[in-house]
Amino acid sequence: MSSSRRQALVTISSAAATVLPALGQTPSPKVLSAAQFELLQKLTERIIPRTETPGAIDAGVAGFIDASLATDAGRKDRWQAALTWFAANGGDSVETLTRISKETDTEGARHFRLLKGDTIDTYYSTIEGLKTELGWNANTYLPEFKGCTHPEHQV
Amino acid sequence: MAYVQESRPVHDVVVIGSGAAGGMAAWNLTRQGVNVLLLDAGTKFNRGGFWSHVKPWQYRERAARGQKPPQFYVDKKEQPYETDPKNPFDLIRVWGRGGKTNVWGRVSLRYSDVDFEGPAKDGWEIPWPIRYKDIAPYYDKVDQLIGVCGGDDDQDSLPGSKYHLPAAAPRCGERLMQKAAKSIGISIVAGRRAVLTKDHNGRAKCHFCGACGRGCDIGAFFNSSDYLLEPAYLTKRLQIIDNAVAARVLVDDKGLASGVQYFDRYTKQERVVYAKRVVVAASCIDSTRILLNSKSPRFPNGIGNSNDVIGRYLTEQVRFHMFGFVPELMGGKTQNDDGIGGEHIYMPRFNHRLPGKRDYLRGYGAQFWNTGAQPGLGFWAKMLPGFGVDLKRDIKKRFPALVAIHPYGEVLPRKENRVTVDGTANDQYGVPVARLSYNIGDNERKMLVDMYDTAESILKAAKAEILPFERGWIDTLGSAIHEHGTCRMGADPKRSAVNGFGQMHEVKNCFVVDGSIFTTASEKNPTLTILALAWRGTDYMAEQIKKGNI
Repeated sequence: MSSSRRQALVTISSAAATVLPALGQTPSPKVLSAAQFELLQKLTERIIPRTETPGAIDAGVAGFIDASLATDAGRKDRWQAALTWFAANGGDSVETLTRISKETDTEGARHFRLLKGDTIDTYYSTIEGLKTELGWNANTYLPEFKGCTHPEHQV
Repeated sequence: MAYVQESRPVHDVVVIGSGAAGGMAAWNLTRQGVNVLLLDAGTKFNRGGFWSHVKPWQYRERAARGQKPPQFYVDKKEQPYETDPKNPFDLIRVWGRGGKTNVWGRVSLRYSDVDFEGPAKDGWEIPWPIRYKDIAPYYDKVDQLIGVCGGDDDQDSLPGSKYHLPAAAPRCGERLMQKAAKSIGISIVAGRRAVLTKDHNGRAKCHFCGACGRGCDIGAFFNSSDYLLEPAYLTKRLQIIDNAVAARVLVDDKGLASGVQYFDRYTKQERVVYAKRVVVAASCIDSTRILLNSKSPRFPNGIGNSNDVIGRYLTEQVRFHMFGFVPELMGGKTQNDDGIGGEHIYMPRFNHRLPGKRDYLRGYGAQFWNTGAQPGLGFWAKMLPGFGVDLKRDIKKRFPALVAIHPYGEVLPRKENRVTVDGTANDQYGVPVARLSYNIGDNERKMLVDMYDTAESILKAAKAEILPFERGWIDTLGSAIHEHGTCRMGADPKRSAVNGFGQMHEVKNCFVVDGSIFTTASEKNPTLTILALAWRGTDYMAEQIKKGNI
């Protein structure tokens, strides 16, 4: 790809970023309290932040997690405990998250794994995460499948 | 005018099951002039309602509206089975037209004489009563009938076919794995898959949406319903009873099969159909359960089971999964890697060709599904460290570069690995459920060392960043969905249940034609061989019917 074409694409993607909605325009939660939901949004955004592509809030990750708790009591209990713990331990503080992300057997580490796992699973199954961020555009009709055409990859 | 007592209909043949085995039996018998009544535990799946082209985010939207994709798999709550909590066994069942062929993996590998001669050579348990030459003509016919794509790169452990459709073009990650394996002397060949890579027998070819596991909306891969049962209908010799959950094969006072008892799946009413011959093809575990539950004064241990072989020697394959990211594709552009769904390459067994003696019997091959840019990335993305901008970048960088290897190793048949029906637990129809008692042994644990070494050495040769793994870990028993051996074929009636045609040694008019009759599991996926054996067995059956022998 020529550098001017690459530059043009970078410019287009920057332009696309500017039309993303402002953070914080939220749907009302179904299971969590408004305060819990706000904290959940901030926490998911810490895991997958908006960059030149959408982040967890843009993709509605917290809303999908909240909705999923309505039908799974076990998950609901785990998330209630996690959000209570986060609220009592600095909210979405980067310092706290950094610390517990490096721990293994602590309560904080357990809540972090839940937060990170659910954010990743949810974000990368949204159109924002899978298509916009990762460029996946498959599961569609193709007249033919060419496979690898790179000479340098051939056996 | 005399009153004539109503006569009960006696069918030429009753077939239990509509999957690969039952579908083949019905198709092959009806086309030879035999009338068939088939019992299907479910009904036809609505092909137009498959969620083949529903993207991950649309799944969530549909679910929020209360919609569901077709429910292929039988819920264990509806039809229970018992398994050792310490060694749980996953039993995957599909009730309904075509059974598991609606959603199968489509890997279509011919067994070779390395497989058929294995037990005769190493002396572990009984030999197969057939060799490759016996089944080869049937493999040819099956390939032509269903359409199998593949290469001409056959090996001693993987016979080729004159009838392969064009092989699916490998993805970048697969090419790189082939190249890496070749550099350390391991050969990875074109995958053999029952997917139409060009129009075949009036059916449209695959459109490469990659969603085969949700059922194909156009039937571009073999499924028993479209490929076997629909043509069988056209002969006007096939009748199917829906929602007929078979319970027992009935035995007359001569010790012959005389019919089948079944229950309506929903009303739970008991019914009986009578037949001159019975074909059991309900998949390995369910066929075995039916046979063991078919107790009579003549067969107190289950029909055809005087030698206590049926239910024993349950075998399948042991497997694990290893993943990595290849440097050539890291940070590259995301490609559409769907292809024909699942892998386009296969690593045939090679350990028998290596110099030196192994400390275990039999062998393993490997599959490569999941290679490339695939949704469902959470399992590896969560294993990357940290969070935030760095994590997001690390995930994006690796997304196009995923490579996967899934070795499958043969599990030896053992007497103590078995299915029983002790009657302590019954299903909703009052019929004893299957209890599965199964574990791997030392032979498999030794083979796993080699399997791990091979998988790791291929990924290392590819200079892949290998995802952390726990050496020796195996996937849940039964998860290969390749159960075999519990009604095994053999030449010796004392040590086997059926002959090389699936005919019961003790009950000449009862045939078993599914995976339960395999003498060994081999390392390969069995459906192509199930189809070939069922075709061969029912050819023999039709011949015996014509001769008046059964």
